[in-house]
Amino acid sequence: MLRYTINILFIFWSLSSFSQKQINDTLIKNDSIHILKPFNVRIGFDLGNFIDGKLNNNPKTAFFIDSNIYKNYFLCLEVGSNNNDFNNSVYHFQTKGNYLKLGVDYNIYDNWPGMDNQISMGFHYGYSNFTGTLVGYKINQPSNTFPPTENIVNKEFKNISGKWFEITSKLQVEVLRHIYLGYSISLKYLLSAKRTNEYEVPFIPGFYKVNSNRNFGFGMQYYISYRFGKD
Amino acid sequence: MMKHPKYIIILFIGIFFMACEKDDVCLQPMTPKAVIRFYDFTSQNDIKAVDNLTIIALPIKDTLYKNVNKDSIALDLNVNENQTKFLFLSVNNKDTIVFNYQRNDVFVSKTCGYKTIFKQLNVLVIPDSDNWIKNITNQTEITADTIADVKIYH
Repeated sequence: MLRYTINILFIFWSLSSFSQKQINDTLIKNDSIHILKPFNVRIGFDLGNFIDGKLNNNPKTAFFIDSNIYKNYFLCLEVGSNNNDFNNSVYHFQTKGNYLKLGVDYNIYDNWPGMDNQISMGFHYGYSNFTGTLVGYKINQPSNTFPPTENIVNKEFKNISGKWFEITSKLQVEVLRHIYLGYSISLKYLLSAKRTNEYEVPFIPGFYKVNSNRNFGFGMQYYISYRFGKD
Repeated sequence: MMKHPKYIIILFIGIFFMACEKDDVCLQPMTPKAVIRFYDFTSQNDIKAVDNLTIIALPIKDTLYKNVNKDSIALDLNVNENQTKFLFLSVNNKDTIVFNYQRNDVFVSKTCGYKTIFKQLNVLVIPDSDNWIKNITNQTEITADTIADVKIYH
């Protein structure tokens, strides 16, 4: 809960920092105007998941590449790899795999000349291929006279695929020349099946936590990125 | 400056609340109990309560019911073995009941995990010099809590 509260504060903090910057930019003289040329390529690294993975010993890595292909439209590709270990005492399931997200972001932020910040709304398609391992289970017996023992199964289910759409709001701020910090919040809608008669996936790489009762998911990523090309 | 700041904030808040929904409470029926009903041996369609019924699970010696007057009970079967034994006492007369079965583990969901259903059920009373239980009939499968799986005549 604290984590989400801090995230909300971060949103408001970021809005206020833009309004500060606007005042400075009004001082820029006309002759120093430069508009970002198209086809600048930016490469980013998912910092939040990387640190989270390191702390929880559950490796997660993701990179993205985006480019302003036309006016305020950015084409964005993200690839990543996630591991997850789910254990709620009756069901122990591990997930390991890769994912790919492709989509278009539209920058709704009006940059003043000389600025290159991004507040975008995007529509992405995600695809994940992963291996699930049913590590074990304990029979669920609501009241138990004879406490059930854990059954170790270690059964692998290979080539499970996950497909989803996501609406992403992304913010990227140029904090140093060519270096950006930012984050994205995504609302995801799962298209692929999450359950068979042998297992249910609690986690899909790139989609994150899967809810049993609905197909919506939520994701948040913190990025650091670098833009190549001239200003 | 920004074209639609209000809409973005609303979207953020909406996503934030959608992320809060919990799905970790198991609401589905899980491993069924063995439902036992007591009938009158002399008039086999009539339900007849047992006087001072005490039930002890073996070999752990857990007392499940103590000196109750009931015509219907539900017992957990051991899901780690293919056999469960109970001691049924009525007015200090001990009878041992043995449940033999095959276990079948069925996947339910991530939250609920697996449940066991019992097949090829066979319930019998170990004969002694003075059995208060005269006869036992049973269904061959236990898949839900709803019906009487075992009928005990006394």
